[in-house]
This record gives sequence, C-alpha cells and structure tokens, in this order.
Amino acid sequence: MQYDERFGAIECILFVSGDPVPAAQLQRALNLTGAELNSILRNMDELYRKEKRGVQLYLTDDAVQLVSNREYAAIVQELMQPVQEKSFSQAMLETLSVVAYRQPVTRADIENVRGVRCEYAVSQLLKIGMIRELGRKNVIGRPMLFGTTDAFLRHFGLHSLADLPPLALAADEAFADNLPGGQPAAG
Amino acid sequence: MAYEVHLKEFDGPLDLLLHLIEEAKVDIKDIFVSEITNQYLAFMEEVDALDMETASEFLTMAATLVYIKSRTLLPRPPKIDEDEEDPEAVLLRQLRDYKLFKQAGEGLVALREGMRSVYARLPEEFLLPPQEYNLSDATAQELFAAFAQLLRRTGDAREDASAQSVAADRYTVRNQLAFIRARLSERQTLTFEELFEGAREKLELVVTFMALLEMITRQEIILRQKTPYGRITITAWALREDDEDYEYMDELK
Repeated sequence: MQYDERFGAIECILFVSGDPVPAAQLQRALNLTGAELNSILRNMDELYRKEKRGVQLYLTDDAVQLVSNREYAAIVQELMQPVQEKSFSQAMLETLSVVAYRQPVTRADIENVRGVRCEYAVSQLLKIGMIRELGRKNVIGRPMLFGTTDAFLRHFGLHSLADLPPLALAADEAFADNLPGGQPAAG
Repeated sequence: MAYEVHLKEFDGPLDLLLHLIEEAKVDIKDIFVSEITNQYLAFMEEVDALDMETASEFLTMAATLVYIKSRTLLPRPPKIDEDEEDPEAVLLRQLRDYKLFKQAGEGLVALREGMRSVYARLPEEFLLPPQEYNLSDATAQELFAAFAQLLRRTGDAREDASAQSVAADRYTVRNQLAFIRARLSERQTLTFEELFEGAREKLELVVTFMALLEMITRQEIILRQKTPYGRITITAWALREDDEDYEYMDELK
C-alpha cells in the first residue's frame, strides 16, 4: 500500500521530535498538500485507536504529537511514578477561561469579568505558553489582544476550540439565552 | 465553632460576593433583599490586612453595595437617560458573568484531570546540523533582481493600503528599535535578511534600517560578516531597555 511508507515516515518524525510537530512542517518534509496530510493523519489516528496501540496520535488544528495511550496509564504509573504537574491558581484558571471563551480579549475585558486586576495572571499564562498575543485592538491605547495557544488545547485534551464545553451549560439556566460570547470564536 | 474564612482567601470582590450568596443559599437576583450587603461589609474589617490595590477593589464593591442599598430607601427620581443601566442590573450581570467563567475554569480542571494519564516523550537530545545557506552560486545580479522583486512586491502592497487612510508616521525609529530589540531578545542572533523578512513597505525597510544604524552607534548590537558578500549577522550586545530620554534621528527638531 502506498500509504505505508508515509505512515512510517510520520511516525518516525513524531517519535524523534517528542514535542508536537506543526502540520505545516510535516507537509514540507513529506512534500504533501494539506488535504493529503490530513487524510493520512486521520487514517493513522483511526488505525492506532482500533489497534489500541501504546502510543496514540494527538491531533489539533495546528500540530501532531505522539502521546501515550491513557488506557495503559495505570501500568505506566505503577512502574515509573511520573511527576504530577503543579495545578493552576484560581486566578489563572479564571483568566484562562475568559481568554478561551471570549478570545480575542484585552486585559481590560478579563478584568471586567473578574472584577480584579489580572496583570500577574496574564503574564504567568503568557510565560507558560497557555495564551499568546494576537495583535493590538484598534481602539484608544491600542491594547494587546490575547488568545489561547496550541499548548493550551493539548494541556486540556482538546483538539480544537470547538471542543470547549459549552459555556452556557455551566450557567444558571434562566440566563442561558442572553449570554454574551457563549460560543468560542473559531480559529 | 464554624470554620472561619478570611478576606485574603478571596480572589476579589466578586469571588467574595459569590461565596456569601452560596453560603446564604439565595439566588443571585435576591442579593439586594438579603443580608449579603451586611455580611460583605463585615468582611471589610479585615481590609487593612490587604495591600492597597486589592483593598481598593474590595472597597469599591462595598461602596457600590451601600449605594444600591441607599437607593432602595430613597424615592427614585425619574430616569434621565433611558439607556442607562441601574447599578443593580450592572452588578447582577457582573456576578453572573463571573460565576460563569469561574465554573468554566473548574470545567478546565476537570478536562485537565483527563489528560493527566497521557504522557509524551521529551525531544531527542541530538542536535540537527545548523542550516547553512549555500551562496556559492549567488551573483550580484541575482541579488539585485531579488531586491528589485522585493521592492515591486512591497510597491503593490502599498497601493492596496492607499485605499485606506494611512497615518503619516506609521514607522518611527523608536518603534522599529523596539521591534529589533524584541526580535533579538527572542534570539540572540539574526541574519540581516531575517530582520527584514516581514517588512511590507519601502518606508518600513528604510526606517528599520535607520533603527539598525542607531543601534550600532549606541553599541547595542554587533554586526558581523565573515566573508565579503557573505551573510551578515546581527548579534545582541547591550540592548537598552529605557530610551525615554534619547532623541532619535527622526525626532530631532
């Protein structure tokens, strides 16, 4: 089958890289169009799932990564005791959720929702790569606009922003119909 | 004795209000007829323990609550501006919004839990060979042709842009300096070409180049060229953070 070698090549690149590899880089390395790469990745993904392989593909809109299959996590943890990451502070989580659901947002937008200054939380989130600067808003003061990153999607097990749980579900139902920004912006 | 909560534990006034509302088991919309305002004010006794900035956020909310309470006691003047929202409505909306995103944040924690059992490898430790530019076949003519093409392309872009209104000083030495500094603080060394890569307009090329000259005279950067016509690299030397007191060549009066 013609695809087999490309499967192998992609698997090899992903193994060596460890980190997520941008789809654009894979395309260039293998000389494929976006549509071709997409269809190969989808086939690979399906195959890996079906065969319950120890490593699985993690696809987001922008990148691909080889990750461990969570079904075998218990076995891995028994043997290796992986380090548990530090969790986010409440301020960081709230800030991140405003950015995730309402992007692009300015710091003032976030502060309006939270009722407190968010300078520190925003700078921390930038530092650990959960959010990024998207550009400046065309209003007085030209404030910076923020959005989430590919690393954000990976950290929370999402494949695209469309996977975010609907914001309205968490709201008081009586107000669910007049929620501003209930749908995350695409892209 | 019931456990005590302290002001310090709350992430701002909305967080405190939401906590009081949950404790009192009242609906958000009923907070103005409940004891919430008094309870909130009781917390303000601890406000001295906070830093000034946080304290002022809590106090602003206290003032709003007291204002709203006083409004309920007084006869209301007719509204002058129909579009103006009541402070009650503003606060209710803020509280609901805040609650929404606070819960969404908790939702993110749940999502994260699901990812805790997924691991990825660290990247392999060998280094890829550095990218080399092979310029042995490049001639001066080709270089000129490439530059001419670049100018033509940026010329087109400028025509597109002329349809919109463009501010007079779109590019200043000060801004381009900041741009170069930012690029160099990301990566210690850039090539000359890389620096000009994103430039769309001729003016931008020129001003960036002027900024580069400024930085050389002020020894912020070092330029190197190993061979004649070779690649020019720009390396950060002593990047300045503060240049408020300095007048650049396009600012001299």
